[in-house]
Amino acid sequence: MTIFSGFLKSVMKLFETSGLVGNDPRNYVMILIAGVLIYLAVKKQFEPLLLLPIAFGMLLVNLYPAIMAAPTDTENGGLFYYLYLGVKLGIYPPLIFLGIGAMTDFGPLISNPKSFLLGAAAQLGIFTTFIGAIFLGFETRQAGSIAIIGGADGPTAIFVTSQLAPKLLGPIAVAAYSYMALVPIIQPPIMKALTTKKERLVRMEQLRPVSKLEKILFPIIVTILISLLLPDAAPLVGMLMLGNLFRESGVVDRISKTAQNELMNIITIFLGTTVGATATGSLFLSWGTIKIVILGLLAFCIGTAGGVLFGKLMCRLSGYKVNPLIGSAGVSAVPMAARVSQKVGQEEDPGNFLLMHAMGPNVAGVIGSAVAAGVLLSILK
Amino acid sequence: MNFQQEVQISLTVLITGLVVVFLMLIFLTLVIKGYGKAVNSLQSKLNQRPRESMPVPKPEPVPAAAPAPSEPAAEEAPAVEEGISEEILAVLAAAAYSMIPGGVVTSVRRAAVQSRARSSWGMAGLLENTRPF
Repeated sequence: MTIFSGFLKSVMKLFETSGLVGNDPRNYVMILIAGVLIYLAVKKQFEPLLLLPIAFGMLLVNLYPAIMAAPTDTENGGLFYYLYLGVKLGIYPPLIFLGIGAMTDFGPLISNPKSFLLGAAAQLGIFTTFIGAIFLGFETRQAGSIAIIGGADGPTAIFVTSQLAPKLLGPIAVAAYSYMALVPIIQPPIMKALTTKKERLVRMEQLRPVSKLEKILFPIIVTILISLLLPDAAPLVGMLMLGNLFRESGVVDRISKTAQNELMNIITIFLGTTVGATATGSLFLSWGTIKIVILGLLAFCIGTAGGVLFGKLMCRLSGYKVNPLIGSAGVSAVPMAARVSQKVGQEEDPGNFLLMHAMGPNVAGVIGSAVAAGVLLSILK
Repeated sequence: MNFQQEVQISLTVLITGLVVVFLMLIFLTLVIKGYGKAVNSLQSKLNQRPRESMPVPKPEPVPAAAPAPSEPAAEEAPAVEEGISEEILAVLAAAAYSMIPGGVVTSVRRAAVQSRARSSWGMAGLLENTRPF
């Protein structure tokens, strides 16, 4: 009998400590949402490299909340608590930028530096969304974190949010990566609405060839200038340019390949799962999340419109030498936004190849969003 | 925060943000244009120097015993404004190849018509620049 009662007590204790008893009911809703995100990532291939780890991190934390628990005097913290330190301390996003820099060819931007202006114009979405977030009741740091979704840059959004409003990291990351995957759906109607057929048919001159020396000097000069003028942007821009220098120097091929492949993949796994693990039911299922989703969409749309409108201005001022469709690529969803410019341009004229022209504003947008992030951090931190 | 404070902070961030981002990127545009021109002019000067330093071969003296035949003034050089035909290009290429040690030209044939699909170089370039992160 003693053994049997001991057995019963053990089973009851196991049951009482299980997730079935102690779990917040809202976490079960989050488990369903995680399932939907996994479906979108696997079946529909919505940015699967990030969305799948985010979704699974969300699933794990809502099944077993202690996975993100902080250490106490008597117990160690959960697995994701320690991995999450890379996000909290702003380590992972700059390392992702290192890999992005190693993959990016800045040639189209160097050969046509005016693309920087289109990258700047597309950041309009960030600052106008800030206004919307303030008037919807978010406090300034939260509004800054929500606004950076308009930069269409996942690592930048995570970097800024982890410093300004870490509690909103889950919904902001999910919103940012979901909208990045929806760029081919969100952008074309805006691009067509804001341009005329004549403008969409503009064929641009071939880009001049860029020498190796120019490509090597570019990351060094950009790092020096931006780090001196806007130090808060230095971690992101500096690592982006370091990765690019690895690529362009041609003398550190092994490191360049590691940055592009193994390092990116490892950091993506850690970043994605731990960011997803911040999305617990109590934080995610709120009116605030719905407002973030709406504001995120607004940020994307205004950013696209800003880039296209500035492209129209450049088109008129240059005498129809610039196709305004490339302005929409100023949002830094590389290379998706450039592909969208190419596709919309080819719908009007199948012989019009805008891809390389659009890559200029696209990569300029990465730098532009990092600069915008630096501005937000310096004003709001 | 009251309405006035909200308006104030919103406009401050909007104006500061846009002005700073534009100024920074305009500055970068000018710097990149500037160093691009400097690098290109330096490289074109370096490319010209080897040509200038190469010794100009002295023209061989025309032998006095064999007077050069006078060409009719009316005869003009063959016009190349219309371009060189493909057949002539093929013959020139074959002639150049035959001058290489070991080069033997066995036949000159028209190549098969290329399909409209993108060349493998073009495809490689497209994939290189559009692969996702």
